[in-house]
Amino acid sequence: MIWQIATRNLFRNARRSLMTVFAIGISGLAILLFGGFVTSIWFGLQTSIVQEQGHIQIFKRGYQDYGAADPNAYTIDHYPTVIDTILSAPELRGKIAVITPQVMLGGIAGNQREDNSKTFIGKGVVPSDYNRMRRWDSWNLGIRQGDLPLRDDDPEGAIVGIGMARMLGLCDALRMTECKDPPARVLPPSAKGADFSDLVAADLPALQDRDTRPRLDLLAAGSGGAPNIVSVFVNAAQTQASRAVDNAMIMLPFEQARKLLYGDAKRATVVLVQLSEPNENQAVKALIAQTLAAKGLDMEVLTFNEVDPTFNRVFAMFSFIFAVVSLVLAVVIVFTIINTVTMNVMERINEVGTVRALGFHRAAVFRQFLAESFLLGLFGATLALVLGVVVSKLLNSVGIQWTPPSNAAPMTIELMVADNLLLLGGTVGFLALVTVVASILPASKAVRIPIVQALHHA
Amino acid sequence: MRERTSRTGQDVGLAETPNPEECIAEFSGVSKSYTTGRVQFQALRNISCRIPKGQTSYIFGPSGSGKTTFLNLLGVIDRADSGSVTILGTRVGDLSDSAAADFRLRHIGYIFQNFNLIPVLNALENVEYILLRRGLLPRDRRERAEKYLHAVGLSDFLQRRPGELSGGQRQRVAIARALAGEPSIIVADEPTANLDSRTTGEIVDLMQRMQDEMKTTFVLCTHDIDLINGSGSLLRIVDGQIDHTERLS
Repeated sequence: MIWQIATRNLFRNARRSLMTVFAIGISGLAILLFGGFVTSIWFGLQTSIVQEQGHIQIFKRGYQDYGAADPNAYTIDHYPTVIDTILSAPELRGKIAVITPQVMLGGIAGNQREDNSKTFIGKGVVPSDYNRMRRWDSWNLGIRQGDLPLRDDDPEGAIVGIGMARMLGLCDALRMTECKDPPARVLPPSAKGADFSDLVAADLPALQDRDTRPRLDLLAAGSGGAPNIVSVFVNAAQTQASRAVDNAMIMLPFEQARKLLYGDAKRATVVLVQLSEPNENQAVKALIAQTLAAKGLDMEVLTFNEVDPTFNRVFAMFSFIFAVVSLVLAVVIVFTIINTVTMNVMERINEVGTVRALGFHRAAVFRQFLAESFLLGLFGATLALVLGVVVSKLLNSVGIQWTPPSNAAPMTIELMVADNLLLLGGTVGFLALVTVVASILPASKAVRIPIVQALHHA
Repeated sequence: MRERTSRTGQDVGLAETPNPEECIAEFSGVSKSYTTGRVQFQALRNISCRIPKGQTSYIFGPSGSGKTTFLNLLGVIDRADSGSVTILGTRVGDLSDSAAADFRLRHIGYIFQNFNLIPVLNALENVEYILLRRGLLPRDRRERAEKYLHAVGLSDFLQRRPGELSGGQRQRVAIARALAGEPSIIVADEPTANLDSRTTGEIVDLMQRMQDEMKTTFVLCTHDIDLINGSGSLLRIVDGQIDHTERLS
């Protein structure tokens, strides 16, 4: 009967109850939408990162700590062994979508035609593997990055960052409208000395003649420390996630990068592993580490967020904002409920006196007020759920885009409200809890009023 | 018809009331005061009396004489400043808050001046509500509530909420609610004060009839002398003191 009375009391003051339910519902809607956004960040960002870097990365042990200073010493010596070991492990069968080697490199890139050169950071990827990784979308978010303009059968093709293209004077050659080549420099004859491009020009005189794409010459220190040079032809320039990377990025086929650094040795900086199932990172990581160790391969197996904590930090930042927003809304709800319950109490002091005179304990009266608040919270939460699902679907249909801190390209915001049962359940629980907690103070005041005083209350 | 057998004055007290074995409640040297703002008001002054079992006792007196305070103490919703109130052998002033609530539930039935029904419950539910706290099963609750509502003549109004009932009907529901708990004492504070004269007569007759049938102890508080009829006893309070007791027959 406690719920019967609670429900009827809410309808007894229908307008007030409705206003309170709306206040809770709108607060809940805000929590759901923001929660849906944070969920979308979590899944979307993870998808974007996994499309580029895979779930798991395998390095030679020590690379994370010392590899930047001495990359040659911390390079995987024979990557095919690593890949074959993993692919032949029966316990890993079916779990791996893509496994591919990658080379990280740095050096100087020169554009002989424009007499420009600058330092670069680059990576050598297997184009077909990399493009397969970029199609990964196991959470069905519809995030498609499109294939890279690199091909396995074009070992000299390359992609650069737009900033890199601008600084090396590749914009006109690539017919790009979004960047401009630097103004022509007028240098005194004495200032023009021979650079490494001139060396390449001397060694490879016919290169430019057999390809119309702009050519870049890449100089890097080989495994023995001696400089080595390869030439690549730029297929396209693409925006990179950060300006620093955009100004220095070159992506080239794996074989070309490997030859530049290691000659004929089958070495690679890292082996990337992309999984079929998105929620098996830790389990598969452990299996891979176990498999490699059993084979005597001293490797470091890390998940993508262990390699680069950006994902964790971005998610932690949004989670913190979400918590603050929820807290602010909780305060709003608390005051709304306190106001509503206080008004209910004031109007029903006589009733409180009556039921206590009839033999009901204080706790029973207290529970009655709490039940009414709980129902308010529940109705408010239900309204929030309905609004949350409807509004999120509407906003999703509009297709709002944003560019996450770690992304180069904008992604469509997909407010994941209806798909996130934890968020839905958590919001309902949160709203119900907050409303019940908010009613404790006025309800406890109500039951402390002496019966005689309560009975004589007008 | 009234047969006065008592005398008036300060010597009225336990001597004029029944033997302890025939009593359901006993007030012994009870005083009670209230503070309103900075003013202290002495509602009862050293009152001693006994309430006979199975009869109707009328607490009579002018407004502000202390009748309601007397009834509050008897109904265990207030505590005396000094002295003791003993009901069914229990010194109710010593009970804890929750023990007092249990005592009220088991032994006291209330009929209020303003009916004090739960507005969101219909007549049947209002009566059932008290039985819920008594732990009766739903079917038993319903049967008993219907029985008492039938007894007070409201069989056709079970589903009506208080707002849909007349004053007299509401008070009948309140009487049914008080009776349904089958308490030892029913206390009624000015039960007809908000009713017209015809309805007042009906309600008084009803209470008298219920008392006759059930032999429950009724304690009625009133300032209306016309309300006092039938058998029982009369206890008049003036300025917080008993100045007259009388056996009615």
